[in-house]
Amino acid sequence: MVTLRIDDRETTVADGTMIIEAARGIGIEIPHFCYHPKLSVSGSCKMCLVEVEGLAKLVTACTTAVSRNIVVRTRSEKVKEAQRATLSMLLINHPLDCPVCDKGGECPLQDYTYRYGPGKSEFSDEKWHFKKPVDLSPLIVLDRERCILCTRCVRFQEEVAVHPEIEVTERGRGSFIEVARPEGFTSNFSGNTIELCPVGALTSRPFRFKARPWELKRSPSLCPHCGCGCNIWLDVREDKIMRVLARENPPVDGGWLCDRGRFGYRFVSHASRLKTPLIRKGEGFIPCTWEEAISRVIGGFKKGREVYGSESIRGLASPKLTNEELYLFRKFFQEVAGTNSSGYTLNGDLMIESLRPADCSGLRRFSFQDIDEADSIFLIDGDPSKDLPILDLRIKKAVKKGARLFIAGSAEIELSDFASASPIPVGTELNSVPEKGGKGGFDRRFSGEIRDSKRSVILLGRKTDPSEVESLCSFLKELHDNGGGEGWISLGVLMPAANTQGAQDMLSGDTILNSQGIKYGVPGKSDVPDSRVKCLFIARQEIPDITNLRNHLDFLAVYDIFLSDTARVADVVLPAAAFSEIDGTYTNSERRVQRLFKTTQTPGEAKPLWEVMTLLAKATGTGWDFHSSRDVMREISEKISLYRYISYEEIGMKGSYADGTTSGPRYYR
Amino acid sequence: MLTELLQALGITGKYLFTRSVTLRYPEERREPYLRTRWRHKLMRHENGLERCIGCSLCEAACPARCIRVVAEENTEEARVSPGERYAKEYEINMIRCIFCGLCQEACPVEAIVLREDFELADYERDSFRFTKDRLLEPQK
Repeated sequence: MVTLRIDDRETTVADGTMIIEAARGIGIEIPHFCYHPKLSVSGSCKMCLVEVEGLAKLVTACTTAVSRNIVVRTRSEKVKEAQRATLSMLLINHPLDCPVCDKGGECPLQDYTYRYGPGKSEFSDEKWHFKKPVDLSPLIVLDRERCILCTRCVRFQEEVAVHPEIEVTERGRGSFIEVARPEGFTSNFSGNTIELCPVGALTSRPFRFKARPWELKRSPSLCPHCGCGCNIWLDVREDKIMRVLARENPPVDGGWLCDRGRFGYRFVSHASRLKTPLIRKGEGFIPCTWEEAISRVIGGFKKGREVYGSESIRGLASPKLTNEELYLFRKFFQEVAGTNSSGYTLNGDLMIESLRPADCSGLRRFSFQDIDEADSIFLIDGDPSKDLPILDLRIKKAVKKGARLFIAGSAEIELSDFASASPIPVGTELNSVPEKGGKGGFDRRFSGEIRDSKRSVILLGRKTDPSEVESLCSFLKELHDNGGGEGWISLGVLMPAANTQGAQDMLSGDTILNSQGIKYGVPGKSDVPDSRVKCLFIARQEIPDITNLRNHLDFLAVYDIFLSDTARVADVVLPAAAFSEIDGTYTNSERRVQRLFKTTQTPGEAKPLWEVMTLLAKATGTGWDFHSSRDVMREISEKISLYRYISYEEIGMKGSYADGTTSGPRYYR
Repeated sequence: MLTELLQALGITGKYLFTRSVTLRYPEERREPYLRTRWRHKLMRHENGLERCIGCSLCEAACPARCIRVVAEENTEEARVSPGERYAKEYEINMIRCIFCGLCQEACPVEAIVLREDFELADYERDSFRFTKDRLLEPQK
């Protein structure tokens, strides 16, 4: 530890800390552009110059480590003079187009110029002019005139995304940022460079000129696109989501966001959103009131029950729905419709059965942070870059730190480039070698690799064969019990949709439906012919071959945000609320329960599913007393023991694991 | 008492012989002051392009919050203003406006100006929503 003085205040920090970080620790701001706490040090912008007593020259605070008893001044006359000079230099070729720049209003260069700048320019010649803007990709726009060459974007792509697609070309005053590869700027994480850019050089194409920062109302939310549950800010203007920014929650997203999360918001305010309930009339639909639609659905169910019995009624929900919605969905089908068949589906893929805790007791339950500490990571039939992109960054970071990555699967994935040589070559038909360890003899081929490591993370992807999971679990358990320490093997399933884990918890394991082909059934009893189902309620799910299924059905009700192909063949279509229009919770892939907040208004008369379910229950004469999603969560914590510690107050802004903890290891029991 | 009354009447009587300051509006009108601040106008450049760049600084400066701007990007085929950005929608709620002129002051391109048209009374509330087509100076 080192003690030093900064602006007459004493502080003690660890050896090797840079002055800029020491100052930040005690709340002293040192202006900077190229420095970023999560990127390597560059020291190129010269904005963070400070005076250190005894040194003749000023030093850059981001590259100078603290040493004992030094005295640092950040606001001396010498420093102020240097800051004015640095800003003058940076502004020589920087255009004064702040009024039309998307960064204007939240721009560090603008703010520092006001705070530390000289107030006037001594440069009287013509500024450099370039063609602007230049599209780096369909999502990102570069303005070369504004760039100050801090290289944050280049360093991010190189160090964090490990996908160096942009670079600084040329030298000296002629240098500029350029796409380095012929395929373009295709990184999954390119949007982060927009947020990193301290000037308006890199801006978002979809957000271009949509709003000024001060017009936006910022609300916390969750990304609805995958099982990571990255925390986001929704910037809303006139009830429309204008952009999505990362809201840092280090154990979940590390402060980054993938492009799917950052740019996938425009569907919410799309003009073709369903606004009123629709009922079928001949070939088409006519709009109707909620009362009519509800009585039509109830009528359909009643008729089905009278003719075919209650087993003919079934509900099918999407893991895009919130816990509250899914809970009432099941409650309705169990208690009101009197059928035990409600389930969820997963875009054509069979969802592997949730790991049965008994099979793997003692193993560590996978948390995203386990990857940071692991020295070996095993990916089995999963592609985090597609299903849970933010984990991709974590894995790359671990590999850079020395962890070994092993990939077993039937296809090459993006992370293959980072993998150590795998005992099972990619593309091998794994299932052809049935062994006791499952996955084509996982035990025989990987056990050595697992035994060699101190901390191991094993991740099962969505294409894992469910029949092999059990033997895999027991093999891992055996390995674990013979190895050193508690929980040195961490096991998890990569849950691709925003609330797959929640759907599993809410609809409780025994009723998983398979949407592959036309067979709908309960695993284990998957040969139950679908022809028994006559009345189906589908919530926010597209069924691949719906026309085929429709022929078997007497009655179909669809709840969705758009008139999808599935909705098009329904008898009743109910308008749904999107993720930014509801209060609720999502449970992410590591079973962290996080909050969604109602931020924008639903279009027309669209309603959240919990409200629809309450209306349906009321229409059948069942007295449900839910007035908000908070009421529903209260019942969930009473009825579902896994969620007994969860309440909206408890979850807060950062979420909490379903068992009530927010950090530390968790184990299968 | 009587003298004071006569004094007062004297002052009143004096004004009978001075020039009248009252105008018989609307038949009689007065030349407006040069810097009078009434109804806004969105100006154009000499070449007919709109001055407004849709930067929303007027909106930010407005203490009555009566301005709304929605910007859009210029394309080479359909250029509305010089530069990259123009105002696709520009609205002023004239009922709310207090004619303070801060928008004019904030404008970096002298696009929004307050001019001499002061006769703004109307019967419909809706007609006080001045949209871009009403505010914009006609093409020369």
